[in-house]
Amino acid sequence: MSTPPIASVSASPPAKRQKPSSGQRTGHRSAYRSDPMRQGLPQKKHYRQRAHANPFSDHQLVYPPCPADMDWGKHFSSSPATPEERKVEVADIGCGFGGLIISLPKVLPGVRMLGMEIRTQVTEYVDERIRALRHLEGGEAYGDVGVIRANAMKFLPNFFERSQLRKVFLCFPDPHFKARKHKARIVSPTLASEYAYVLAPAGVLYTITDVEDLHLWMAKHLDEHPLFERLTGEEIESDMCVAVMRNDTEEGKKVERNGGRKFVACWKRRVDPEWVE
Amino acid sequence: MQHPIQRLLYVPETSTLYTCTGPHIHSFNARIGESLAKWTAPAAVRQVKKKKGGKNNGNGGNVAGKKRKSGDEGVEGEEEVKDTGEEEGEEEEDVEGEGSDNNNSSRIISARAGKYIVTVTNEDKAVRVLDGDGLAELSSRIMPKRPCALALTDSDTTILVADKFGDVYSLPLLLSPEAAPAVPPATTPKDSGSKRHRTEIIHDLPFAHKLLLGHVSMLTDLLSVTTTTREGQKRKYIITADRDEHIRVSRYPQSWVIEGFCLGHTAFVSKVLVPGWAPQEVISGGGDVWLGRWRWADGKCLQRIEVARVLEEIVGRKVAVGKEGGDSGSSREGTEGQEGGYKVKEEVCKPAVVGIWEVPERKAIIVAFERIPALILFATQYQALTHHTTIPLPGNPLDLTVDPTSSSFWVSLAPSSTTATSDFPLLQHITLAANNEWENTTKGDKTARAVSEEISKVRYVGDVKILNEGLLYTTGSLRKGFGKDKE
Repeated sequence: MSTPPIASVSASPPAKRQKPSSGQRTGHRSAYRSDPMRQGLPQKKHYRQRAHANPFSDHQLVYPPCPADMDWGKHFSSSPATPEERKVEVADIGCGFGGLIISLPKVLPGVRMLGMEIRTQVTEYVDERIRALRHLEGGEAYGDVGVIRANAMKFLPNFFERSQLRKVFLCFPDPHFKARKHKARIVSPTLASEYAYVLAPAGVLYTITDVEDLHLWMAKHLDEHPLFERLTGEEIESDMCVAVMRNDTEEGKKVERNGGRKFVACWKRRVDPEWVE
Repeated sequence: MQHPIQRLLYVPETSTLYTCTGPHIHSFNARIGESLAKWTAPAAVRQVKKKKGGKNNGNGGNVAGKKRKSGDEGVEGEEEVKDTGEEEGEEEEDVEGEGSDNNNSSRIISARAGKYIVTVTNEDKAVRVLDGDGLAELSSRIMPKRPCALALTDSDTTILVADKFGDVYSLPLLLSPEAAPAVPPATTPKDSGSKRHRTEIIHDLPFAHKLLLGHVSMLTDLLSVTTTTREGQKRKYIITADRDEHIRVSRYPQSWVIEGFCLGHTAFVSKVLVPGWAPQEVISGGGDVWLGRWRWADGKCLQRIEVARVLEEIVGRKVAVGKEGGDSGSSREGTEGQEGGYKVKEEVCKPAVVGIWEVPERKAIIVAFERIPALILFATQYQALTHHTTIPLPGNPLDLTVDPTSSSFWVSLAPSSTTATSDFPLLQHITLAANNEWENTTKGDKTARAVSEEISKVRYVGDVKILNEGLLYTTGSLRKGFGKDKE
């Protein structure tokens, strides 16, 4: 999601060649996407979409009025025995092309995890990818991986109850460089309270970005938030999820290719403090 | 034409009725029915905004134009047209520049038993504290975004302000001299001058304040609630309602602890009320065809009070809301949401709650809906609320204020038709009997007479459409896919 120019460069050349000069749409992407005979893993180039979505807009979103109304069955293919096991415990907010949630089962087997992405076609790609992976050998691991189109900044409490999540990932979020766009950033002092609401005590909030400014911003606001406690370098390095986040996210790979830096920071959710009058 | 009264406030402790008519606030002694004082909001200093091209809060065409070049994501582009403009936090009239004398008071509450009046003026986004007696202005604080709701906490020493950007700030009611720096910090809009800086989220306001909490959605209402535990400890909460169907319960002053949500609404929530006789409950209303009664401590919905049939009896046509998403008006070109049925929307009346008030002695609540010329009274029966009676009105209710000591109330009206006569009754006084039967007592009410006399002097000469959509009827536009598209 971050560094949008690179993202479009990597995906656009074949698309441009296929576009007739008249500017008419050929609809080849949608034709590809809706082809019932299509085999194998979906190709990213057919799900190209611009890098940003305005989190304040009223998108045509589908979301449950409250978490109890959510039908998780159609997003996962596994069938856990107890309702507790059926609950999502890991959320990847702004999952992009899904690199993280697809790699996470190898370190968190049997844990239900949900990718949330605001861009329709990117979500569609991840969904297709997960469905295709489930049919491959060893695909059962992906039965607990799901993706949903959602604006997590607005509707997180519609999906998750208080203290439901053990891990929340914010990987390579949109940097929103302009100061007046800072409220659109995925971490703000006020939104941090919502992440704390859905995270269970001792649950972990993971962040990674290649934009130092954004890293400092996220670190500042989460450090200042009374419900979050920064994990030490040692704690971070010993966390298997951090390695996955660094190396298996699509953006992580891209930053690697371009020789960029990656800034990782994690926070543990504290228990609610005593009331003060 | 006469300017309708957009806000009413009765302070029983001082027997004073306050009316907001455009930028004017009048006060009346309700015991003897006499006009007391008047205050007029200063004209807003207009910052001339030139073209805002390329920004998402431009008009629909602008946005669509921007989207067109973004390639083959038709669906996404369609949706974006419905942008609410929240991102910029500015209303369109700011750009239009139609006279700056309409710095209307959009909210009014009283503090410390009527000693002070706190009001919000729309145009300059200011929170002003007035002296309750003579209406002298004591302080004025310009907020970064337009305030949408006010409340008081800490025994009326702190004002809570909820804004259009989704944030809640706390401000001390009274400015202490040392808390107000003589020289504002360098980052205030005035110094920086450039357009870019003006739209920044300014966190260092030039007065004492605290950012308590925030939604990523326009806030519509705000309540401050204090309860006492069994051990006798005070517990303070803030209840916030937003345009994206949420009712959030946060602690205070540890406002970063979200205690829970009351979820279930499928359209905007515009009003919440904690009734005096059931402080553990909250009653909510907005764009749904039902009102919610919730136990706010754990978010449990106790009752859904259906209002569709009651409203249908008044308006004589179907009252409903379309399927969420399907009715959002963007399916004009039918890309994704091609649900049929929303085409009949001309026939259907979509409810929008403008207010919920309580009559504590009667354990009754009164609800008003936008552009529906009636009040609906719900009475408590075995703790639940049931429709008791409907009070027809000669115009559309704008605001209402209850005198709890006499179980009577004043309601301000706007003419429901465009051909209103000059002697349109702007204010009605209605009294509830012990059995909740109502009686229109306007004729014998000295205050109503005094108000009518005084307020009829306030004229409105501008475009009625601007008055209606900019000030009197703003709730319906909270519905998604409705606000910007209309223009």
